[in-house]
Amino acid sequence: MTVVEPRRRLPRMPDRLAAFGAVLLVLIVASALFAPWLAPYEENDPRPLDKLLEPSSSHWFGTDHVGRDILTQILYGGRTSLAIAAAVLAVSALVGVTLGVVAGYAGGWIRDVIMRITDIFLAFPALLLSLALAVVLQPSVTTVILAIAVTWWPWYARLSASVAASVSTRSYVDAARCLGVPAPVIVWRHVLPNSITPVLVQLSLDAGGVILTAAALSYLGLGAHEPTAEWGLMVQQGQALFTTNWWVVTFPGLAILVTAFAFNVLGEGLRSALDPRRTVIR
Amino acid sequence: MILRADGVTLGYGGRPVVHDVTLDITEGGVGLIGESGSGKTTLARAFLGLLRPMSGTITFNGKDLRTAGMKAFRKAVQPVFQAESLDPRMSVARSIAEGSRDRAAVPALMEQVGLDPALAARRPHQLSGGQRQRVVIARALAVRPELLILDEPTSALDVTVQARILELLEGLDAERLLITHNLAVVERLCRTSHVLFAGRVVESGPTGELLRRPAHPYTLALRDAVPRLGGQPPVARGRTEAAPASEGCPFRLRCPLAVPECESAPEPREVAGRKVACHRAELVLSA
Amino acid sequence: MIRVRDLRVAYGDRVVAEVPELDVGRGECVAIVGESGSGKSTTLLALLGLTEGARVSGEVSVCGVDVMKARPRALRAVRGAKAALVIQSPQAALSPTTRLGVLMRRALRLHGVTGGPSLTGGAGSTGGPGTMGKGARGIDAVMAQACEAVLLDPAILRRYPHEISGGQAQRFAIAMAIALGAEVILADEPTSALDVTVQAEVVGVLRGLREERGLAVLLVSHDLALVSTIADRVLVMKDGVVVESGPARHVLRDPDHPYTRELLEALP
Repeated sequence: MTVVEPRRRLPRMPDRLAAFGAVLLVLIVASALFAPWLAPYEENDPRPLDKLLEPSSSHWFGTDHVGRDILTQILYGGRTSLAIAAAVLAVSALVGVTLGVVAGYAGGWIRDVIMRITDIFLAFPALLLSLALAVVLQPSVTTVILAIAVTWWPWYARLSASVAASVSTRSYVDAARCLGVPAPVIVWRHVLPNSITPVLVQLSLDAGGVILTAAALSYLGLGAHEPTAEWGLMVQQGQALFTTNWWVVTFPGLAILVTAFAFNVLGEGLRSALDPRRTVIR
Repeated sequence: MILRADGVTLGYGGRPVVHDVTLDITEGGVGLIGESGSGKTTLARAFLGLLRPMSGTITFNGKDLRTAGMKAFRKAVQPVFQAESLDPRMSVARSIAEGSRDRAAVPALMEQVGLDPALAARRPHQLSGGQRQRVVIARALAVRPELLILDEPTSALDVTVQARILELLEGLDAERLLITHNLAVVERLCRTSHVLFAGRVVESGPTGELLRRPAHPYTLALRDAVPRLGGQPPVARGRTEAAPASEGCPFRLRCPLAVPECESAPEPREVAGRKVACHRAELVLSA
Repeated sequence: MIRVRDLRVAYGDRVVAEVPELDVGRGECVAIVGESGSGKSTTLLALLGLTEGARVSGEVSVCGVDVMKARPRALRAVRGAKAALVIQSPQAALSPTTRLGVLMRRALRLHGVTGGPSLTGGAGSTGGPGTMGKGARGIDAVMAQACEAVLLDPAILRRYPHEISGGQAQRFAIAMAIALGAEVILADEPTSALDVTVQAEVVGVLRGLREERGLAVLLVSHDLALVSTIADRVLVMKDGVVVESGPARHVLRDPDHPYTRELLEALP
């Protein structure tokens, strides 16, 4: 008698990548949170005598042009950069999802109005709009958050509108309407919870982009400014020294890169894990 | 009679899919029989107040739905959709109490539809298809409706489960409007039936009569296509490829009995105790 | 054409289908009936070696090929050409941007059907595509003939998958099988998604092909009434086990097993 044994399979690539991204992120967030305990030196502690020291056992990542320990500045700077990303995503998701879900459920002229407004915002190149806003307002962390959120929310509005529109055609929504449940309650109880998953995936995919954009704004001198430690700002200050003192710009740059990468990998993994088409035929 | 359609035309985005339908929901169950694309579900949505007629009126207790008090209407008329009409994130108890907002009544309702009240905390994916369908029925019964609009309530279920759900539905004392393509189910649950083709009612009458001796060639084609246990193989009467005709009788391009006269739209008329829209009804009856 | 002995399909410790004996001969129609979770579809997939991740044991031979021992290449030849799988909704399996004619031609080329007499598999025995002229014109003729065999206008080959109805798609799937010279059709709920009038047409086509071409049909269905009108023999499955089998006439009229009786009584 012949027996066909099932082939053993490794976990899928996206799962392993997502797990890797998640672990990396936990490490990054933890190191930012516990910066006061982890950092070898005080925050913003310029020691002019120690300026521009090469990486060594006492300064792992070296020191910058005023003699601050770069590892310390990166750990504290992570707090600013991650907080900016979280705030931008929270603001744009709140605005975008609220408008999107209402548009998707209501349909008709309400959706048309909301989507046209969304289109207007999308028509401007994102970075340009952020730049313009950041120039008009005072350079600050809040400015960075607002400037980026303004260009980011329309994407969530668009995404959640299309998901909400399809959820709104489900028969449980019809059943709720027939039971006389008021429209705002239907949106809150049925449409929102069942449309939120793709938005969450998109949020994690976008977090990396937000950090890069925030860094870019700070780099251009439109965001965080001294003495706030922020990765983009650190890159800006270090760039002129790249040819002579490479470590000043390289390590904060790497911090940005690694964080953006971790978010992206997690988002991709989540997306494929939550993909309904990913079912095994039995 | 509490619900009535009067010359109702329905559609989406200005394109009509149901044309000039007039029918009453009478006692003893009413069936709407039709295949996919016949407009039966669209008509059901209009009866549920989910879709506004492009023309004509739906009246509830004599009042136009557009002006009638929706609160009383919502309580009186409830849908029973397929088992998929449960929010995947809501527990059984929350779903059942959604309309009545009376959690205390949930165990009794669950028992009424033959569900163990111990399942109240489960979510839809933790239930079988038959159990889900019972939850859907309990959710509708919670507001004590006078009329249930049943949209293919059993077509996704296994036969043994289907049989038990049909028993449950037969025992309920609400009136029924049943939308289905399953002739056997209509025969069991509905005294009167209307056959829909391409958005028009082509034949109406007592269900038994209608299926025993069809007067419209489409009803005949439907009946003969249904396989019967141990019976003859299903008969295909006419090719189904032809799209419904836009002018004249909509069935004429598929009809094996079509004559030039069919290019003019047939008016519904009384033939052998039913209403039928066909020039050739007498011939069909004698077949 | 199909011979199964002591087939057992398990996922981990869970046995999902156990079939001690199943034979389908030329021109015969055998049906497996049962409710969801009965293992009827799993059995069908196991016959084509399509139960991924499962532990399969027993003897399975389809069109003379031992499915359990065959090399992937031989297995592909059985799956694609000699034994055709017809599923519930074939439209989803057709590439949406390709015309039906192109799809069919590609399938024929892939399996070496050129319209020439020497290259077609199983041609002489099925009266299939073997007798045509050579080259592209030969293939066109094979395709047109296959369409006509399932009562489709060959003009349909110029259409895209979304431009045809469910019943046409189902018949196109059968036409594809015929063009490839299939000797066996394995059909999994082939008409469950169709309207009854359309179902009647597809069933008519299958019956005709059995009689004219000696096609063997293994049908998996939940619809006892439908099965009773077309199957010669029936296997009734419940929870992965065959509870009753025999001639359709006997099983569906005078069942021995209480479950079969329950199924029959449940018919509305």
